[in-house]
Amino acid sequence: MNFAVENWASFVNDARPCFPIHWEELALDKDKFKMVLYESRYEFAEKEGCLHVVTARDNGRIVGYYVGAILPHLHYAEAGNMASTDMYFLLPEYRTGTNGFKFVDFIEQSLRERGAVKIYISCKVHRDLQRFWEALGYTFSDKMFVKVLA
Amino acid sequence: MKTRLIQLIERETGIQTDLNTSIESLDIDSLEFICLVQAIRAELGPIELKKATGALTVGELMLSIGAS
Repeated sequence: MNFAVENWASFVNDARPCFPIHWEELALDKDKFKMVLYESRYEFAEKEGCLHVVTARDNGRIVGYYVGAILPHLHYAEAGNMASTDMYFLLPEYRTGTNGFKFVDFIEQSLRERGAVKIYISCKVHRDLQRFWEALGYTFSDKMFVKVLA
Repeated sequence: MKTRLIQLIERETGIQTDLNTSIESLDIDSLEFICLVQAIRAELGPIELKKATGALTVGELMLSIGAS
């Protein structure tokens, strides 16, 4: 696998085959929430300089990605830019050995190079990666709850 | 050390190995790799996960044990 920071355009079309797999594995309330990317908003975020996309490719094919926003935290305005994770995914057949660790290591380094001082990332309860993230030095800091209102 | 590491890996993964065995061929996922590193730490000595993830072979993994 090769890792790279990419722009939105080079990422999104190549990643489309992964999206249904990602959604199927991780989405909740699938009858109500389909994975449809708000592409103009991502493009806007990129133009504003706050979108961060990292890909994992195998022979040119995207097999994993990380998408985040690098922004000042709304209530830690003076702390420096922080990486807020929008989504991340690695195809199941690539979750072997040390691939995941190497991917995260690259993501972290690329965020540091863009000046991010902290990263926020979560995982689904039904795909609990707490052990993975804690092994990489992350702190279990929040419990997040969701409710469908409509 | 070599014998104990190979025995540990074979116990944890069910796969017969030697020092030239690639980590990739162990066919374990990230969480299983974490368990392997934790078992190495418990039985063979200090090992940093970050250094361990750089190992391409069992031999390189062995070199990560005890290194600071």
